[in-house]
Amino acid sequence: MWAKSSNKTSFTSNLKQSRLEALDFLLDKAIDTNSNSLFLFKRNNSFELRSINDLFVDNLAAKIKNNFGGNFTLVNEQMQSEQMPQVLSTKVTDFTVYNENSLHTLEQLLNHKVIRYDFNSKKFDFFNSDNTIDNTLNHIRDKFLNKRTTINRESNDRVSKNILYKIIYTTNSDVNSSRFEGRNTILKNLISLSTMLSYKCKGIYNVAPGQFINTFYNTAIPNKHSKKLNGSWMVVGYKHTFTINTFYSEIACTKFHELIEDI
Amino acid sequence: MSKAPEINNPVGTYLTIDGEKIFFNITLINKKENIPLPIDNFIELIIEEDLNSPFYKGVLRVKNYKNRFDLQAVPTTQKNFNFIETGENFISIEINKNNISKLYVFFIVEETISVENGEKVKNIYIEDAYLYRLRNDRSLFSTTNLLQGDVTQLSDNDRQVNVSDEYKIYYKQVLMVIILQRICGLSHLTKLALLLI
Repeated sequence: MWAKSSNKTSFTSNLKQSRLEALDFLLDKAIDTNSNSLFLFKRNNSFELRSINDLFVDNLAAKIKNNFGGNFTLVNEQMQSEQMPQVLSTKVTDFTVYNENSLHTLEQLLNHKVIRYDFNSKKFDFFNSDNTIDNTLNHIRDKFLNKRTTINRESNDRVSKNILYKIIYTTNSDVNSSRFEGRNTILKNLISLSTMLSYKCKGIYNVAPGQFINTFYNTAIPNKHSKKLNGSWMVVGYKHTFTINTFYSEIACTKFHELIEDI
Repeated sequence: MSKAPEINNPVGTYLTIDGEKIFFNITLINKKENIPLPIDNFIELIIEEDLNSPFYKGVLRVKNYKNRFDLQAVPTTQKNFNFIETGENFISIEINKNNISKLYVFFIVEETISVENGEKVKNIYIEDAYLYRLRNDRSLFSTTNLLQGDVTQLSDNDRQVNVSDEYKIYYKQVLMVIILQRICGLSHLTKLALLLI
């Protein structure tokens, strides 16, 4: 599968540039026809370019079997295992929910070299005039998130006073195409603004980034915490560890779809 | 504490984890030679991947801190593996669990030696073999290659091509070059291992 991007470019590599740099340059600006970010995956030893929106829609429709990473039951250590419903799943006792990585995300955005360049006014305008974190947040709210979503994150002085960013060099004089420079990278970073879940479990052989998993977290009375944990999560990373007598996996996932409108 | 692998595993190819046999075929490869390592050398393997890159990376830790390894087929015989200085040293790791097989081909980024429980251990830092090729190969690529006819008369706008189409074609070119590079001058086993990724 190879997603179609909405934007065009003209590009010529040079001999000082590795193929990886050239491919990264192209991927940085590739977004789909609905302005969703595109991800490159290697599945079954072949490469795929997939839109994050298509991944989620396919997951809802259960269209692509390979994109399901499995069922996981989160078990509170105090909870008796007999109380858990019988489901075909992997039990997980070691898990953490966190959202503190948003600061890192914002730092990435503030320091990112890619800013929209307005050729008419001859300026980069992603951060507007004062280049503050407030403007960045407003920009994210206005351009990338739905109206119901708010970003209430605690920021520190180091981040909020950051006024530095690197500009880009582009040979492209067309504003309609140059405005896409790096947009995919920025959108990818926004995924980290949503709640993240990480857990450690027995070795899961076939889990892969971009797959969706189902988690079950049962409580006697459903509460905010259980509501958050239950449901579908997208895998953003894994780490498999084999030793001579153990195999376990650490898996990180996110609910980015809570940030996106119309899903 | 880690237990030693089962005695009933004379050729040293599998580990027993949670009552299940997991077979490992770990082979050090470069253009000059290849050595399949018996599992007796194995201490730990970490493989990780994240959403922002399709390339996996990890660490393989083995007991033998020298470059002289027991041979899998003949456990009593040892053979040197000479790491070549160009950095083109690879490890193929095939893991088979319940007849489901996964093959990883890594290049060796770095080796270090550490001491654990009084014994020296070799830590081999590894990354996806594709990544090595992509980082080190340089070739000219231009979107004009994807245009039809006389491009000299086209406007800047008409010279542009769809980013994802361009990306796909460039990627195919890169992979084709990688495959051709593999076929030229490599041993049969190396070709087989690298062509499988």
